[in-house]
Amino acid sequence: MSVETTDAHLRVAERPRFAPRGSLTAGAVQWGVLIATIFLVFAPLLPIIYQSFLDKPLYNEAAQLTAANYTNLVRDAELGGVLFNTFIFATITTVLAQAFGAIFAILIGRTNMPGRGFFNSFMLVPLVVSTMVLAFGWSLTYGPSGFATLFLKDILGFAPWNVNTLIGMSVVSATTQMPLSFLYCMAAVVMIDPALEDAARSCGAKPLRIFIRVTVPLMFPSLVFGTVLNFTSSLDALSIPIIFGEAQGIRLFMSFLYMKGLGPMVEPDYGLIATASLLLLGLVALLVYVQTRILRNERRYTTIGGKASHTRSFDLGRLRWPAFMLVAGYVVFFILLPIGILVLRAFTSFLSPLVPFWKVMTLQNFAAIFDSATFVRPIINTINISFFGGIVATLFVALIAIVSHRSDFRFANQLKYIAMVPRAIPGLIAGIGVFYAVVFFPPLGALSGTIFLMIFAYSAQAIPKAYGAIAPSLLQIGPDLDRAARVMGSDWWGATRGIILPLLLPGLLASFSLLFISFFKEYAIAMFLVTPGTEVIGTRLFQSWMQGEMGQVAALASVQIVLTVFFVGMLRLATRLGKRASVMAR
Amino acid sequence: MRYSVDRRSVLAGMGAIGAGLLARGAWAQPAAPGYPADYGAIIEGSKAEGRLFMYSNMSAKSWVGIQERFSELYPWIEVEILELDSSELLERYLAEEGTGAPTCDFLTSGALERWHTLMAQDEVLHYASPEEGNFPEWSRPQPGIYTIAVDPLVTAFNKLILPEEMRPKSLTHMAELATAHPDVFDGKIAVFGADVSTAGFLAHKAYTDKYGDAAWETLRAFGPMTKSETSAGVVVEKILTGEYVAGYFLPSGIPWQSSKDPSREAVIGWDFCHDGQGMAIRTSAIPKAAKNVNCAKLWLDVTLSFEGQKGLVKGARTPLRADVTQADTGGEWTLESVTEAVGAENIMTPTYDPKLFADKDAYIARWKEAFGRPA
Repeated sequence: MSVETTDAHLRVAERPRFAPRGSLTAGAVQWGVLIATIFLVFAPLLPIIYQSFLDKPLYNEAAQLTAANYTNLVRDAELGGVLFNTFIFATITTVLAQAFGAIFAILIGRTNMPGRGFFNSFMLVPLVVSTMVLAFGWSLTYGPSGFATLFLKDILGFAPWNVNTLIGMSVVSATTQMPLSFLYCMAAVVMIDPALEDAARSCGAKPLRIFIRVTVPLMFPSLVFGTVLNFTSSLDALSIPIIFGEAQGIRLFMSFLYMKGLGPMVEPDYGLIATASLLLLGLVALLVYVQTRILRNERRYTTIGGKASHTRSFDLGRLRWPAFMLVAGYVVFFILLPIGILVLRAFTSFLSPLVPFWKVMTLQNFAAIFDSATFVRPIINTINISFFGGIVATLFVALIAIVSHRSDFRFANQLKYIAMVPRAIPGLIAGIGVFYAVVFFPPLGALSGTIFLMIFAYSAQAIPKAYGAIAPSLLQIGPDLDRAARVMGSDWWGATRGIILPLLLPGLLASFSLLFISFFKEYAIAMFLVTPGTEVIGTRLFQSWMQGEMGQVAALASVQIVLTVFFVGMLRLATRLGKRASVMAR
Repeated sequence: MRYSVDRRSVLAGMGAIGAGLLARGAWAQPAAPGYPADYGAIIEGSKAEGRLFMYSNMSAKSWVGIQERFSELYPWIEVEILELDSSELLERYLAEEGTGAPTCDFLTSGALERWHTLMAQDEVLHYASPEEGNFPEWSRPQPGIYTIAVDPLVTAFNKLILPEEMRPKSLTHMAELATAHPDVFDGKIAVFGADVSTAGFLAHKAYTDKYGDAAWETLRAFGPMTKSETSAGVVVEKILTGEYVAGYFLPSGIPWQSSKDPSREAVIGWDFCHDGQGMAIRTSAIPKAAKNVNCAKLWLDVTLSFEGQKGLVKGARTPLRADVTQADTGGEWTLESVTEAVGAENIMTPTYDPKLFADKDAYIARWKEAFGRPA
């Protein structure tokens, strides 16, 4: 309570003391960030809004203003069922992903469970592989004729599960999204100030009680961010419903849009795409509003104080090995097996339970990839986009987060809302938006046909994701620290550069890792933006998959996995160094 | 590097022929009589352009034979093929053309219905290829639009699961088998559904047009046992694993490639559909917004040339040029030999008649009802 008072008191006392020069820099940075964010976010969005009121494609000169798209959307016979399916799918996915993510983060981050470091790297594996490819691995392993399915069918006499159902799809989706929750929770549990737990301990609380009453509540911001992000990414899911659901007639929001708008056999209805996207935007805006209401009182979650300290592990006691079994079982059956089967597929001419795989081993799939520029160039493009795009976007989003949480900027709150907007735009739609934006905003035209346009589109789309990784870490840095700097005569920008950014390093690295990895496997945004010469791995995989070149899909995916394992190793090294640097800065 | 030998030999040849011939511009097409005298201008023009951007729903792998021939003739042109989905790529061209964004020089797609849009809007360059006389009238619906390949839609099956007598030879045979053995076939037949695929729509429509109510009777017998797919590769994978036992109206490329891999061949087999052989057509054109027009013209002419059509089989595509026979392709199928195999009366090649799509929605509704799909 007293913190609030001091804070208000300080603010009042502080304002007149700002040096004019300092506030000029601060203002320039803050306004610059706001304007750049508005452009990044709305450049792809405005064409979509405009399109929702047109009766023909936006580029068609004969297009007339109309409201018919909205009435058509409401009247659409299929939409109700699709929304219901999508809601069920997103709910199951989110609950499972969050539960697994949080449990694993705690077990790995804060307990003495055996094999923690080992598991830590495996948890992130599904994040690095394209969802589409994971789905392919799942289908090969747990599909109606998958290896595991047929193996158990032989023993039991019946197939124990069916992945080609709404629940099956949700489970697949949850395993692909679990790493998101895991990353956020991990960032939170690792940064929890042990002094808070020590305080409980010194009051005589038992470990379990401390855990439930102190640790879990402190993870709250991460859980909320993760829940909303997971829910919205489930709404965006395209490859899983198409791979598992489409043949069964189970449609989700994005496969509905894809089939209605871009699928075969239909006159693409851009009006429907635009209005349906705006419907999604509305839904997600509501979610974000709820999220911010819950997290209104940010200071409750401040956990890094001005004093250096060291986090301590909970002792699991007799539960150490059961916990180990739980995590190991998950890793083996939900992560390693589907990916293993996929890699095996890359080394075989085909995979079938009907023929032993060692009789069909081949290197042909890899030879086909490395022999062809249509595969090698996308690999190089993807690395460039992921690395440079990841850096640019992380630094930019860090500024957004700092301006919106840690400044007196007049539009700090609005900035926060604007930064969340891209979450509501499905990748495919964002790609189309940027594609039109290039025409509307001529300076962007110079980027057309280069990978910079991809970086632009990817970054705009990634703002909420990076924000989700950075903001919780930022909330945990006590405002006393930058205030201390300002008391010593530093201005806002000086405190930001000198104190907050260095302390934020773990969050920045988490964000960069997240962006690097998601850029590395992205395909939806790129679909409409690729030009000859700027293909990325994701679009290449999608095209090969559409053409049914499964061997090449598996081989390229394997190459992607190997590259990502390499990069993740580098990132982990950087994270370790970064943490040390941030501790030293503290 | 791969073509360096070819390039060197072409350069050597160029030197030998000399500058005098060069001026007449006939040197690059020595084996192509019937080319106009001013064809050299196109070749000269292509040198300044040096690149060709192509949108194609035929994979780069399928173009390999044509690309080899092209590099032999015009080694200075760099060819970039962007593989896109059939209707998406035409849509994308229209969007780019409409917004004035940079676009491609050459289109290849099987999305017949979208081609009608392009034709109606007159988006295609009216280029008359010197090769066009070698192609049937039906394959050239409008100046500048050319059918470059005709792929049969075949039946594929799992040989380990289906014994010889249970491998469907025709749709009527499929109906008999499915009725007699629902335990084997129910839920295990893949089809390019009329609701999700242009090729599937046209093939089913041709079949029901051919046999009328009897055809609907046949389709009703096994339709509800099928599942719709849109990629032959996916179907072939699932047949290999046993998830499907058979699939029909599948574009022939991947089943044929599979039958050349001995380990796959042991599991998967294919056959024509002997009571109604569906065909999928691939259409190419140079769009009006093309920048590298000369390169595009050369590419089109090579694709339609005797050597180019012969080269199609390297990518498991089926040439339609009448003078390309199985003797030229080393035994690979051509339109002619396919017609011979199933009988001309059973070939169901779609036409470019827009009427085919006139009652599309009603037809798909009826199809869905027969196939037990939700309306």
